[in-house]
Amino acid sequence: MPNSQPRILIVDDEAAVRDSLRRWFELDGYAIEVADSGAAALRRMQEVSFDVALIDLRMPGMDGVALQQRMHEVTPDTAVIIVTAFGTIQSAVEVLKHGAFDYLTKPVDPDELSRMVRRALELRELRAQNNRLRRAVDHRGGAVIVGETPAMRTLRAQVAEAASADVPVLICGETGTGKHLVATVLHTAGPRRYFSFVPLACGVSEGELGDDELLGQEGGSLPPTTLPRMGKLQLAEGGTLFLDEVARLGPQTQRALLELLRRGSFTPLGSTRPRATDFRLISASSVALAPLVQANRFSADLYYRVAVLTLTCPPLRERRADIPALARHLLERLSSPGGAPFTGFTPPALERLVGYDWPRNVRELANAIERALVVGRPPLIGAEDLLLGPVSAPPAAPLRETTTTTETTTTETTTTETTTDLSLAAVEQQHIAAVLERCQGDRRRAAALLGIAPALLDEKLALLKPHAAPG
Amino acid sequence: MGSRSDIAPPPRARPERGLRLWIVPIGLKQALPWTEALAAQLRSVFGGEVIVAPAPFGLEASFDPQRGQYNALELLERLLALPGSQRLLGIVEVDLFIPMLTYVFGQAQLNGRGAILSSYRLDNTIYGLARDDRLRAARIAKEAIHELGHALGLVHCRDPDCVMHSSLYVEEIDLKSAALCACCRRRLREVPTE
Repeated sequence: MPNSQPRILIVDDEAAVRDSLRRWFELDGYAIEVADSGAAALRRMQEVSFDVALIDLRMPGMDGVALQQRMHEVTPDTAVIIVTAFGTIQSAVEVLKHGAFDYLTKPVDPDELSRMVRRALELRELRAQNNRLRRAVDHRGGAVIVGETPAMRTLRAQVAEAASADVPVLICGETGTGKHLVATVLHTAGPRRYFSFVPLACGVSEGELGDDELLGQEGGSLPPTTLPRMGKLQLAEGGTLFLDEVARLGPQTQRALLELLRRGSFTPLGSTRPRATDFRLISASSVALAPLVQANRFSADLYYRVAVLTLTCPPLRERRADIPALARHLLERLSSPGGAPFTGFTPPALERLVGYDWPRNVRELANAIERALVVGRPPLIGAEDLLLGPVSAPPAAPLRETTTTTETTTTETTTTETTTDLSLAAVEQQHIAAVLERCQGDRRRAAALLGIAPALLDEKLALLKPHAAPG
Repeated sequence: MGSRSDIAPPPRARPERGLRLWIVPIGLKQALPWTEALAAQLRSVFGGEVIVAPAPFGLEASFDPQRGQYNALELLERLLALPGSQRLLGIVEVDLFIPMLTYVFGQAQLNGRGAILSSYRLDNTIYGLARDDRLRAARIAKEAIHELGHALGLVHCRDPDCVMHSSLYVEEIDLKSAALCACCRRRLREVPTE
């Protein structure tokens, strides 16, 4: 049981029931609050976090099942016990199916009620401990694929299979969909997990990677002033080499990589002695590789070597059902230990999150939540705390790999934009435009939201591209 | 081995002036033989003045024909409506319930003026066992101290030997002592004197 006073919410339209339960549980030292309707309960839950909620199944307006579902969205950690005078197996199955902790039929034996609440509190404490441990693991570099849509479950199964298969994998998906995270999970769940995971961003600049970056360089024929340097291949020895945005490799690097994969060895710069290599190759691309192969812009041989298995991360807008769970996961992950104690989202905020198209996918969602943690007021993030940009057009080159499409929910942080102007000025312009749109052109409010003086905003607006400033 | 209450009176919880307490039998045609013994026991625990004063109202209004039991909350409300500043402990011999629960041994107003308790389920004959007046009296005393403890602001205690430990079956009442643990006694000393 938690050390602090556990909080219980009693929701029943009958005053006598509310009063008797309140008195009963107060004697156990619990902090009790009551609500006479589902709407009142939801209002209170947006202000205070409860450990357990006892909800009457039959109430006018929002019934117990509907309230339980809404509660599950707002504060999923609250253990819900449904109480009813009309107990049937069917209604029990219904509420348990929607995530209720348990179900009681009136009148209840005192010991049954007390023990059930105690069990619910113990479960909640266990979950909290589990979350704390998971966060600790996350902070040590652990990776979690979040989401319960059927495609997500399929993806997890595919990742598990692919991880142990130890063959090259190509991960496709729009930018921000979590390709880097899937690569990390493939590595950490596979037999090479005790060796290095070495990411190599091929998309940093168009064209060729420096040979020394991939192959490394040794003494020998190198000028005496050149220091030996380990290449990514040496760093990845025994582990995993992750080629991010592999489509951006230049022809020369593609040939070198193909040669390396064929021979299973490489020769560091300045050396004459080939070295055998042993690494797993995982690649990622935010553009479809098949059309590039057809256009002779990507080596067909290399394509078939890097894409022995292919996983596809769909855009967030195609799996909206995962957004609430993913948002909560990100909230937990992004909350700083000493920061404001946010426990979840208000229903309007969740509606906004689910309704938005997320052109930059999970990364954009993470950014929106990170900002809301700064501007919002605990315990819940509200719709007004979410600054969502205007929905942009879908990427110019939609992915159409002829492979099984799966879903990912990720917290990827290091992939590189390939189709968007990422200069600081461009990002600032987009952000200012989005804030202005949100404030319906009110520059004073926009300046306040941006945290700058109105005069400075005017200066920045003068520099905006004509199409970026809303009228 | 009998319960601790049968061997020696427990230490006094409050060395101050103590309670002004009325034990109020409700709906009883004659004085109960055990009420005076209970009064003496409560005096030994809480100190102060404890008297027996039958209730000026009956049980009828609190009867629920659907359940065949008496509503503890309604009875408590009527009890607490009695004039005066003394604490009140209502005693009944009928089965009590509160909405939502099948039965209760008693009901207290936390940090309030009083409590009510039923001897009905504290009697062995209810469970088809041989009558045992001594055991029943011990159970009533423990429950009376327990409910009054709530009225004085104590919540359930985790110490299984403490009289404030939650008991949901008579067997659990038998397992605990009639005394307050050191922790509950300390909390009780923080209660303002009457």
